[in-house]
Amino acid sequence: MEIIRHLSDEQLSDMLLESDMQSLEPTLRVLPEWAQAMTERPETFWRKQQESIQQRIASTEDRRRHSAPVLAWAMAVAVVALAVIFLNHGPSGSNSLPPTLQTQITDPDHELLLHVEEAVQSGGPAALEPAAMLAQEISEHAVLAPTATYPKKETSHEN
Amino acid sequence: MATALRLPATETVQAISSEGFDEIIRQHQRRVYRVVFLLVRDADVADTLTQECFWRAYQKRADFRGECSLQTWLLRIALNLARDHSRNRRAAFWRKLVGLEEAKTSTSRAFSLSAPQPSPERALIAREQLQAVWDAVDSLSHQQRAIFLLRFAEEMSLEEVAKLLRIKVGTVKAHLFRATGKVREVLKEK
Repeated sequence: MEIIRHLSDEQLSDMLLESDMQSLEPTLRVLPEWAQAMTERPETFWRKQQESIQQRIASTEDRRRHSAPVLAWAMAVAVVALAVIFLNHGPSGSNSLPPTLQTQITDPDHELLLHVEEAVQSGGPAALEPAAMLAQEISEHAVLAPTATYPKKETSHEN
Repeated sequence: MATALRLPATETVQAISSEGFDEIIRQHQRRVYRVVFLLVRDADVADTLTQECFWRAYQKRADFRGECSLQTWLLRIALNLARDHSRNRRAAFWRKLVGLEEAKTSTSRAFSLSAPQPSPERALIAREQLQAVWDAVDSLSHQQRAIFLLRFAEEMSLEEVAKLLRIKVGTVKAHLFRATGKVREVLKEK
């Protein structure tokens, strides 16, 4: 008991396993030979088994070989179909954007100014005269300096 | 005794042609068959699963990286097939029990031992003992049965069994301890 108390769990389980195996030893000893004897088959059995495996492998290979060109053709057709679709509907096929998208891209401020100008030209109310003048001024300014940016901010730290 | 045929560690199945694979079949078919047979206990099923094992190995030969021996790799496939077969058989049993499947005439359980016979008396005792062990092994879980048979029938070391089943040596020991305990109990009862 004292000895067992000093053994680790692993050592103890090893010991128990060993004792179990010893008690079964006479029976277990014959197991390998018996297993060998149980699975002894005539040479024809093994040859037949080999042939069956080889046949199965060969038929799989054959199927694969036959299906390879079909697969290649299917792939080629798919690629051509994709290319046609891409050419018809892709970005290189249409140089201009759809009209709906184009209107979305236009500047809303510019659009508003155009509307105002249009209203003024069509003899709009007198109350809109100052707005019309402002619109005219802005559009003139835009024509003179198309790339004009916002006035540069004065930096207080500049010397 | 168990055949321990091994190819050099550097050799991979991938590099072997179909003719080379024939040689692999010849070298390993007996052991694969024996291990499967011990687990499924049916000669016809063992033959079918052995063929399936080599066919799958051929299909999956690109997956073999030579991390273990070719034999270990093949036996791993065989063990998985045997496990799947047992599961299917259990499922078939339950289906049969609830009347979903017609009862089959013969089951793989109907199995008689025919050990080599040195003398009539000793042979009888040995056969009875073996039959008892065989029945006891039948009560084990698949994992315990596999470990028990690989260790005692195939005489594999604990490390080899652990490598084959991809588990720790300690786990193998624990399963083996439980398995031998159960076998001993069954033998004692008899």
